[in-house]
Amino acid sequence: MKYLVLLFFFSSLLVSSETDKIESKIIMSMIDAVSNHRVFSVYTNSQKLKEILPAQKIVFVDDCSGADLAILEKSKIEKNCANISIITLEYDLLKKYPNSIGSFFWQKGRPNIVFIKSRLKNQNIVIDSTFDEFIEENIW
Amino acid sequence: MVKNFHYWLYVTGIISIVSMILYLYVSFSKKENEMKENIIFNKLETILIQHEKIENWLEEECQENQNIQECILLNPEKSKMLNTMLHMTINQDISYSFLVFKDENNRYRFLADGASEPARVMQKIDTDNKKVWDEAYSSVEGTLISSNKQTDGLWLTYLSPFVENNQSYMMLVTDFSISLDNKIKNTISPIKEILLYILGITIVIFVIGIFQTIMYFIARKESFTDQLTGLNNRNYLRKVIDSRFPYDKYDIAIVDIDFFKKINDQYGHDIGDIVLKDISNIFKKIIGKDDFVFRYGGEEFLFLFQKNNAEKLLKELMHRVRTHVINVNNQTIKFTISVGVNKNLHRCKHFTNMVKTADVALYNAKRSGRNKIVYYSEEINDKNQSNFQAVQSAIDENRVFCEYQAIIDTSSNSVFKYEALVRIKDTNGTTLYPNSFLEIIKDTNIYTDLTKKVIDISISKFLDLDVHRFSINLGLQDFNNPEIVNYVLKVIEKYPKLIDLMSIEVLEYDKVDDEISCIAMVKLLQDKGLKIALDDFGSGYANFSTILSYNFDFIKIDGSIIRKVIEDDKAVKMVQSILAFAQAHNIIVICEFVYSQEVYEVLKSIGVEYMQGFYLSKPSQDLERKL
Repeated sequence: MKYLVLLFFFSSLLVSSETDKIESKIIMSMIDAVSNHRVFSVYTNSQKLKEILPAQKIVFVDDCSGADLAILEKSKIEKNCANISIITLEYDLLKKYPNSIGSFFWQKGRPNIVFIKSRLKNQNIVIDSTFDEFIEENIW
Repeated sequence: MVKNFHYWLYVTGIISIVSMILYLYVSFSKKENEMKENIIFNKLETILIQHEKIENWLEEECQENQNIQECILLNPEKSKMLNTMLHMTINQDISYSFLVFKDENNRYRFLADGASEPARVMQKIDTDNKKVWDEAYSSVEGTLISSNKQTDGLWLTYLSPFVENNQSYMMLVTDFSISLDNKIKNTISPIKEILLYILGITIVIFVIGIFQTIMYFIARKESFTDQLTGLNNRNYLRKVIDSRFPYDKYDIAIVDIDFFKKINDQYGHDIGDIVLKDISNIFKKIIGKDDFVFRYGGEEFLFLFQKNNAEKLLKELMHRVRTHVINVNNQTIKFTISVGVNKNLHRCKHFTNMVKTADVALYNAKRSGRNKIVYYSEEINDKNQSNFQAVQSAIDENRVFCEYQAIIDTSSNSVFKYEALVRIKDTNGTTLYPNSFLEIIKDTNIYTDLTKKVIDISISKFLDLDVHRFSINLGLQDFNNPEIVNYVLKVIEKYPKLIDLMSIEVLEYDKVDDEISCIAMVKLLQDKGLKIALDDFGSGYANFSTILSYNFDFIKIDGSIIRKVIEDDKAVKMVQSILAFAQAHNIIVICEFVYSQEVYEVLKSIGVEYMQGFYLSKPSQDLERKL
């Protein structure tokens, strides 16, 4: 029994670390796409992201006022983030944040990326062409 | 052979168990796969039924629409209905079930979703393997693919396209939960785990067994190896010489390092050890694949050479040893070896006899100057053998007797003491004298037996008379023989009177091997009260240097000097000198070989008190002076 509990604990750690790795990689590539590979100051209300994103590539700031980009999850609506670009961690938040440019979220167990074409254009953001397949005209 | 059989039995047993477990493990793995296939087949059947249901429903509901996608997109009620239908299929084993279609940009978009919180219609979905999805979408049959278990907790995905006029217009995606895989595994796993557990234990037992076997062989090898030289030892010899050993194909050689004791005494035991190691290395290099070499004793080595090799290898061996030099502390040490070879092993009944025979040859090599190889000769053997047997049977059959020759105190013309002289009567009744048998039996047990016999005969002759003293003869080497010394100690303890009656005359045949021990033994007997005489003084090793080492009570001047006293003044002067020296050290001088009145007169004139010889008394079994 003890063995089974330990096995479960370690395998969940393994799975969790694997999804975190993928998540970190995708969000970093999204930040790179938006920032054109320059050092970016980022605000996020996701504690998990603060832990998994590589701190040497981005600068975390405490609120949106000093940030180039915000990455937000659902916990609460961040009112101070109206003037900066936002990447949401849920598809539905794209509608709630008019200045959100894209989203990363898990859909049917699969990682999904969306960039909204009109919002990128409005904010004069040109993203790397490798992300073209993720650019959408509409928010559904 | 029996032990080897046990090892093979053990190894075979372990291999059988491991094979059996592996067979069962593979069988259960196959069974697991079969179970999976059966379960998947059942699930797919359900999915296909669902697929057909949806297809039929769409045919009915969207028959007016040319485009089914539009039919669904434009009718939220129908979309809801589809969601409900898909929701029916979701259970513990199926995580997701949804309908997608491909837009003009080749992106997959939701049409319907069976989840409790369905995805938005038209919302894009990124696939984990787009190429496979595209292939599945364009095929007419369903495709089962593996999912990424680590990230999405999915096991398998079944992609089932809806086709009309050979054209897919949407696809049912069904994701099987990893829990289904786990369920199957959990059914089989305990058995597989038990098998793996047994396999693990078996392997551990096997490894322990192998380890113990290796340790056993190491210990066995150590027990068969001489630690100093790395050669085989006597234990291994005992193992080799079992009844199956092909003695007819081998020669035995015994090799002894000449004067090894001297090397030890002169340079120390550490250097002695280096000599032993060096010579052992030479031996190792020289012997053939099927030859054997054993450290047989301190500096003695036994070889079993294959017949066709023996002579050549022994010559090579002698050459290498002679040319080998050891440099220690700027000193060069060279040494030689003596070798005795027995080439006729088949003539000996037992291994002991084979070695004894080689030992006789070695003895002859040493006697004839060392540093040589002596092959045992059958002729000498026969002669020696018959002499050995003659002496042995004489002892066994009580044909050993003593003659006694008086030593006369010329001052009183009375018997000072008798010297016991051993004789053997052969089977024909002829009396044999020591010169015909003593040399042959020297260094053998027969010699020791004979010495004891002479002591016994003399004691029985003189003990009861209690009036005459007598002396027995021992070689100086006999004092290095614990059996003889202990026997003398035993008899004087048993018959204390012997201390006054008996004395020992020491004949110095050869230079003794261990002089320190010899001096100690002589002193031990003197401390017990026995008188010790040095016989044959003035010949061979019996000279003044011997007197310096021992405190003899008597010296008996050798006959070779005495016989010249009537013609050579130097001999007279020599006797006078010995007398003067002896008087100064309280040593009694006896002159032997007094064969005539003239000799007697000369000796008497220079003050010799004790004399022995045919002129005075001949040896006799009786204690009477026979002139």
